Amino acid sequence: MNTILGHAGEKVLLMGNEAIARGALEGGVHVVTGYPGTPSSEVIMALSRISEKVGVKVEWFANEKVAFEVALAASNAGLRSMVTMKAPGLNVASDSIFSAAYCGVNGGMIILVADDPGPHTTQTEQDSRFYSILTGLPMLDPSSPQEAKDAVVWGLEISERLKLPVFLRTTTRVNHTTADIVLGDVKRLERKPIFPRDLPRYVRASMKWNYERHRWLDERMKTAEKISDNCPLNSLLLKGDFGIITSGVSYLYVVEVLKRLNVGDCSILKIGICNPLPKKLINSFLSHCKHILFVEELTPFLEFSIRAFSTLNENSPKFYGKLNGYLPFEGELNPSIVKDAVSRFLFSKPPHRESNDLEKFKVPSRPPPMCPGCPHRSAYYALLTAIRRLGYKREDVPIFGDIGCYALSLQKPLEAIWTEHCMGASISMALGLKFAGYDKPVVATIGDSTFFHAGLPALADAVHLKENIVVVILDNRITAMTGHQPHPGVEFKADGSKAVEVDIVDVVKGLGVEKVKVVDPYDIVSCIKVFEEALTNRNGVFVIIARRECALLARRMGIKLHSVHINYDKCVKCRSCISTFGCPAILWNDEKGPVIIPSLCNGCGSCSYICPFNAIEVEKNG
Amino acid sequence: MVEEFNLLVCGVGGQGVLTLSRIIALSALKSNFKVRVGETLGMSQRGGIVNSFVRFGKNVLSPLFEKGMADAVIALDYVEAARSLQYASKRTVFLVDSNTIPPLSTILGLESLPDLDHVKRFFKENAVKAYFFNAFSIASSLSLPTSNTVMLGVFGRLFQKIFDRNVLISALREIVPAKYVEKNIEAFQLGWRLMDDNVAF
Repeated sequence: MNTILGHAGEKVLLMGNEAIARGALEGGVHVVTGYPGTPSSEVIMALSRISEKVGVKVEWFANEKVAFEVALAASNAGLRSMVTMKAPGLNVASDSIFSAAYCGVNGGMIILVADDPGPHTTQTEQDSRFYSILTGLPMLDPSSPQEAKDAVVWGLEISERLKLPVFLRTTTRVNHTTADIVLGDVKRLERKPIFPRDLPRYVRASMKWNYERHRWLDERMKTAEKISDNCPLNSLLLKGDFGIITSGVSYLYVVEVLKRLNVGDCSILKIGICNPLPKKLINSFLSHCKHILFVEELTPFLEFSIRAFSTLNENSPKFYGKLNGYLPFEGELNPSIVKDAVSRFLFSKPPHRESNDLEKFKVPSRPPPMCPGCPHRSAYYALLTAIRRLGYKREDVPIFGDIGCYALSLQKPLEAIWTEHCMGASISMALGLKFAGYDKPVVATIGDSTFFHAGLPALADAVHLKENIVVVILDNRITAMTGHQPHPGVEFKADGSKAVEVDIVDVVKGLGVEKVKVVDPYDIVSCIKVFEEALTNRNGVFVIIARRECALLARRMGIKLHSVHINYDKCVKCRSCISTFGCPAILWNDEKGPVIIPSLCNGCGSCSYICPFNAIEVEKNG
Repeated sequence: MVEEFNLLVCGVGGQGVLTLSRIIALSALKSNFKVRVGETLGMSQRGGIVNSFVRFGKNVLSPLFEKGMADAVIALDYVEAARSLQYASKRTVFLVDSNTIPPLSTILGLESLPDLDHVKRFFKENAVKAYFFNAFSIASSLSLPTSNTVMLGVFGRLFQKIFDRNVLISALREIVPAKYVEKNIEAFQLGWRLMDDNVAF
């Protein structure tokens, strides 16, 4: 049986995101939406496996803004909903969230945003806690998977009571921690969606109404202040006059570090709700402690707020934190960093640490490569070859990249993309360079899911302005980087059931692109020809759709197109298969030369085009 | 009852690190320990580094442990065993698959790949207990990628005072897809026997 469907009271092993999914069921949620993004994706992946059984509507949408608005409408109509996204996705959805703070909700609504201190898999170390202040909405900040689950249940309740969407802000170490979780009761709320017609509430066209709704929001947040001190995620421990204010996973580091340092008399305030802050708890802590250290990740949100807040009191304790150099602003915290800070705070010196000779062993770096058989590798190889054949130097033709697996093409030996900025920026930046008057070809490369997410508006502009840009849509038929979620261009939904495929070819033609070619990236010879045609085109936008399913997905489905082997009679050990293509399935052996490892090879056969001596032979598999 | 046990399971995406760490975590839950597993998942399926910090015992809270605090390291790749030395001290036990998926930078000749003997010597010179096994070739004999459950057997035998053998097997049954269970149990038994020989020796 699926663990997230366990009985109330049962103790099970769940990953943070699975715990959040369970929390949604315990909170009686009706609709869950999102756009994939590490470290948030497993919530919907876990729910989509059981959605039919539990009667919850669960789906991926084209981007976070769409996903948010779908969930918002459900909540406006009285149902309970949750929307999930990674931190940059919140920026995409934010336009809508600001307005949603003015209209509020009827059914409880959770906005899950997963920040990524480190960062492990995100373009920036955005601290999304500030969005709670900007939008004026409540935000919960759990420290563990158990708390994250419980926060969903509590958050849905207070959301419905306050009539406001509630943020659940997590970090990678909550989302991707697996722990023992005690399950609660699953709740089923029988409700039918009814959208209330209430113009001042739902129409933002009248400035008078907008002003009134702003006052309404602030009134709601005054009510929220009364709830904040009772948030079950807070905890207050009053002991000695040295105290630590902390939140999120940092709290766990603090508790373990104090134990390891044999400190039993340090006071601790854990804040589980960062807007509105629990003022009574904070005040009792401020009046109890003479010295206070802030231990929190990323931007010193609590430190800023509480230092400012304390100026309203007559006597203020002495504060220590990021603003006076006790902890770093960048990167995630860990027990070692927290131990250093706590030792300096309590004993005025860092802990004694013996030098560890074991760290001295030199190990080669291992950035994740593109997978063996990745169609993107073949597509970029063909693109770079076409650029070279037309007589351009590499630095003549900028290749704008986008968010997805293909960003891994930045590594040697291809070193293909020049930028990876944010979702959809490849097309707009390519357009921008042409618009500014650049006189050589420019190329944008963007994945299929990313194209639906944020590529369409820029492509419409490029057509409209008739700028000569080459747009390569790397269509691997899935949202691959985040673990293979569907998007509007595929024929199935989150739960695997049938959906309508929106064909990118039709979309592109519909936007007015006249030059559209579909190529198979594994057919490198044809690809090079089409890229050459596109790069010499002087008549507006040229779109190439490089279509071939993700090699990892094909492998999982048991598809291996070719058997590939090296004919050592022909191989001259020139090494070009390795040095120009960089497929991890081809290793170098000092005696034999290149060796294809069958357990790694996905059988794309592209390497047979690469070898100048035709020494790599492919056999089509039945 | 174990107060606190800090285990690092490490390797390369595709080797089965997360499955192995989940089986051990579930075994810990079944043995009534508190469990915390901090996983680096982001690029796990793509040949990147995968580290899974498995912590269990009476009193564990955080998903990570301090450098130097590992009680044991299971490495499904010997290069990753060497990378994990930062989490180890002289009291750490290493259980290492003596195979590697070479990092691309070493295939391209940009960085050098430390050879197995070099790594073994380093462990010896620094008096860090390490057992090396050719788990990959054992798994190959079963014609199913099961190096991770071979290493589970190795781990189970060495720490049989902590985990009941049947608990490990029942956790394996719950985590591994049904059609692969029997071969994985076979792999587990082979690993167990490998360690048997070592412990006896």
